[in-house]
Amino acid sequence: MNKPYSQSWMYPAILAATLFAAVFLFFGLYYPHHLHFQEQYQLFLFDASYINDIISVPGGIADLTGRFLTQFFLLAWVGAAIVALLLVGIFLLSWRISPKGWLQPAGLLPAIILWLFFCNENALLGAIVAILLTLLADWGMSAIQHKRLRLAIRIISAPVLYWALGPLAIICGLLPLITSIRSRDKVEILASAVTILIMAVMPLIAHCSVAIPLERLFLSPHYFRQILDIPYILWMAAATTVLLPLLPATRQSQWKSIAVLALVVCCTGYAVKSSFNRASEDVMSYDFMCRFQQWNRLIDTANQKRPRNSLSCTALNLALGMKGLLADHMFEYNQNGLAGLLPPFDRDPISPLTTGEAYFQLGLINTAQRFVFEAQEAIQDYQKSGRCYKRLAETNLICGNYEVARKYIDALSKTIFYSDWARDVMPLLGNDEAVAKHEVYGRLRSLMPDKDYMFQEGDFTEVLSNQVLANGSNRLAYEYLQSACLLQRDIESFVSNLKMGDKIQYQYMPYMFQQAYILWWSSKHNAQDKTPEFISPNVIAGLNQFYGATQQRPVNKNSIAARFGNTYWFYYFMQ
Amino acid sequence: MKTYNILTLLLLCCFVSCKETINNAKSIAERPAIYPDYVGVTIPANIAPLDFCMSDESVQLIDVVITNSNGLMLHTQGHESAGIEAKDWNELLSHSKGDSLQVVVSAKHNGSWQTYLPFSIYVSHDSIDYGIAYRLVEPGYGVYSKMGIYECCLSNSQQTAIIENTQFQGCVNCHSFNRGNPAGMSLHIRGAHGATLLRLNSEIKAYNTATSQTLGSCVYPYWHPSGRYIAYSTNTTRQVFHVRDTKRIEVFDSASDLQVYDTETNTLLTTPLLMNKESMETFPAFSADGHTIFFCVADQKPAEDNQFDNIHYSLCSIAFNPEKGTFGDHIDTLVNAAAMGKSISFPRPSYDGRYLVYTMANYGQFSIWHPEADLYMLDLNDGSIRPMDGINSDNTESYHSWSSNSRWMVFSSRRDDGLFTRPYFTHINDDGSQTKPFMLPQTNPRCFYRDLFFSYNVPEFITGPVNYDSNKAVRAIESPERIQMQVATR
Repeated sequence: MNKPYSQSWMYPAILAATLFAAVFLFFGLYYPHHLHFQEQYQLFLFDASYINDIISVPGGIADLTGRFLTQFFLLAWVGAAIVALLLVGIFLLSWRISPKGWLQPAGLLPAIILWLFFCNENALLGAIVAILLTLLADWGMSAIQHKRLRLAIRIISAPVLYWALGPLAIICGLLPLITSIRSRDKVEILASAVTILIMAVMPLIAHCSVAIPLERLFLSPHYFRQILDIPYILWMAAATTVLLPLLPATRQSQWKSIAVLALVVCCTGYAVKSSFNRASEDVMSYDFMCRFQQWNRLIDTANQKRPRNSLSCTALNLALGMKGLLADHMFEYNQNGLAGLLPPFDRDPISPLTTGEAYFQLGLINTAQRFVFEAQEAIQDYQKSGRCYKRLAETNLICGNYEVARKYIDALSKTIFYSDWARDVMPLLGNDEAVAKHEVYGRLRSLMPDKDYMFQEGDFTEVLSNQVLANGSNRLAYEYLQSACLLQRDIESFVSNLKMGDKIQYQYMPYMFQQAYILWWSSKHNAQDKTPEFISPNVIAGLNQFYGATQQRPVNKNSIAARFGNTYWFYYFMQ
Repeated sequence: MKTYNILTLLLLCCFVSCKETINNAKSIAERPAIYPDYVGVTIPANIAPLDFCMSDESVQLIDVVITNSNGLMLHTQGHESAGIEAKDWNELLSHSKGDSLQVVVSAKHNGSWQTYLPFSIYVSHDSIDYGIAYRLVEPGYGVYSKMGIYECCLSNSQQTAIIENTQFQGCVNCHSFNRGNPAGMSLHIRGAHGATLLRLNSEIKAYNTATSQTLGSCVYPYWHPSGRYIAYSTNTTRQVFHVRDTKRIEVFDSASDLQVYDTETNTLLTTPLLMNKESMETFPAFSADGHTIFFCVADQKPAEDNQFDNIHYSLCSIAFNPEKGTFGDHIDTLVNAAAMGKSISFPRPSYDGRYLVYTMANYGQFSIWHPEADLYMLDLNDGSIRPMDGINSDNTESYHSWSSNSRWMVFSSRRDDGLFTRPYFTHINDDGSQTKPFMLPQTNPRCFYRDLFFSYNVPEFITGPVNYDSNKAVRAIESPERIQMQVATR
């Protein structure tokens, strides 16, 4: 006689495999940069004092495990596999506690809710690890046949579990309580109540020794990066886990089972779609490509879908500049004024990183250092960042602050993914000649300002002028300077700066510069005057056509955008 | 003592088998290069072990023999650092007050030993206070991450948090005690829950120090020796950033005034002399007898001009009557640094009334970012000034604090790596001369300090554990209730 499939190992195995594939493909294909984002806001160190600091607060073991696994998110597909495996583990353990019958697919719910939780870039993997380890601990304890021993271990382990996994460990008290209430086992009920009581008191005890607010010790010691926020969705997952045993045991019914499963799948699809934040994934992707200097890929991405966000524009403009395309093509893309070229400093951990990349490439090393330092300081849960440490090491190397650079390099040598780099740059410490000869650091050192002055936010044109004058080979600074003028519609300064271009032997007249120049020229000359030779006839014809189109009534902006949206004239007059 | 020596020898014999024997060591005719540099320093008898590493990181093993003039010996070996045991060290120091310790260092390089010339460590008769309190903060710009106020017991280097900003939303700064006595403590909280916390008679209260008659919230504090008054400055501060210089950042005032808070009447006492619109007054400090306030004064410059490098503070004083809470009728200039093209900050008189130490830089008042900043000593008896050459370095020396017996001074310096501030200690002799300073001792110091990404900010001596109930303080911080300070012009 065949066993109904829902009673065999096949059914959960198929569900587990499906869940794994869905989560793996989701994070690997559609959400990889959320994983990169997670990685860049932490720095896992193989260092005793680092580990001690983490495990000396409640939830430390879960947090440590989460941080250890998060470092692999630098490789998005590995990260996707890790998240998928953790969620599958939670599903299998939830399946175990779900009553048999056609309602058993509800055992998928905790894993699915945690999937939604992890769609938020501030959700920390340690929270998922905490639930997984809690369920594992519950499984291990419930497997002890000797009742007194089991109850004793349950009570004794309560404070340990709280300290290791944080307040989510209360699942370990609530699950047996619910089971024992159903079985009306008074001793079990009492033991579970004592376990819960211990876990409820533990935050109060912990509060005397750790510098964490009480509400966080009760709800989220380190489950969420924004430490002041309570991750309600995480607690919803925990509540669902606890409530699973309360579902009624039902008779097997293949159709009902399939219906429940279909409902779960549909709801999951809808919920994941709702939680999916395409806009933030796009911004993160631009930042990732900027971080790893994938300039061609970044431009290709922008060509497929024009970025609109300021940060993405900053990354795109930098990519164009690095590939020598900025002055020819920048207005073919959406521009957000000066804020899309060099955004002002924001006290958040995200925008200064991308902006800092631009300052770094411009040779404004002190400013790049300040932006990256401040970005790291702004990380809400006080963690450090591998990306920031690396950049701080680089800026200090370039500036010749070798002892400071050594500290960052030493720290990075205690990691998996940055240690090779740390080993490679170690010989540069204290060796001016080697730094000067270094392909990147030597070039950037030569681009640094030759004399000191004060960096004033909002005074970018002066800063960039100084950069150009400090080193005539700083083509990027010159193009940024001129782009800044154009973005501010300051054509007079743009024209005036062209002399600076002559001085640094910038002999090429890029396409966008021609468009801006002819605009200025036409306002100063008659139509009969001979146009300068360095202006292409196509540009002159284009301006005439643009004027013609704008003089038609009524003005059809969409039509003009379709024809001239990629010109400076359109930006100048119509954006 | 004889019995003790024999016992020590027996113990040494027991442990000798655990140590590698030094054979055929090559004698090196120079003193060892060690980190931190403890060669020739003077220490108090109640200081934690001066564990050290060889500057050469390739050394495989360090062997250290420390002997006092009575032949009492301490022998230790370690891989990364000397690994001096606290018990042995304390025993040795307790029998070596006024004595000099001879330190013989041998180091194993590439499998062979080298023995260096011995060096001395002098053990002073003067004891040092229980510990220091300081803020640990990353040397940044405007954004802050985790930080806190901590205390460190100097006899064992154990650090304890007094309050950390992980307990609430905001930043902590300007901790201050009355002559190191932690019973009275002033602390500022900045951010959403901004307040000044005062602990008077074990009670912690949160104050709103900003008033309509003053510039803003109170900033730099200094306690009156009676404990009744606290002098505060109020400062309007700005920041700008260097693009090339190692200074990185300039923090400067566009306005500042002084007032004295009377804890008994909850009143900020002011005088027009200290609220002059034409000048900026800051960094108040009461004299040892409490009848004078020392402070720094600079001409006010138009804020929009960013003339921060043209702001020069001189050292001045004004009389203060603690019985009546009134000020003198004129200001005396003690050191006219502005005339020298220099600028003074952090005047700190010794508690015996003998000296006053201040920081002098080329301009401005935020000396921690000035590599040229050095410490100077003013003799309050004869008015003579001298640079403290015994302790100044090529890098920044800035904040400093006297021990309660006025024999030791802790000061912050960036000499270690040019960025991260570390506390150094020096003994001040009767004639005002200073002994070679030593860095705050730590076990395996290179590892400790290299892994530490915090600066020791505002190190202050404390005469005992602070025992601050930080949870109680947090409740006061998060409560909307604030005691409003009142203003009275005298």
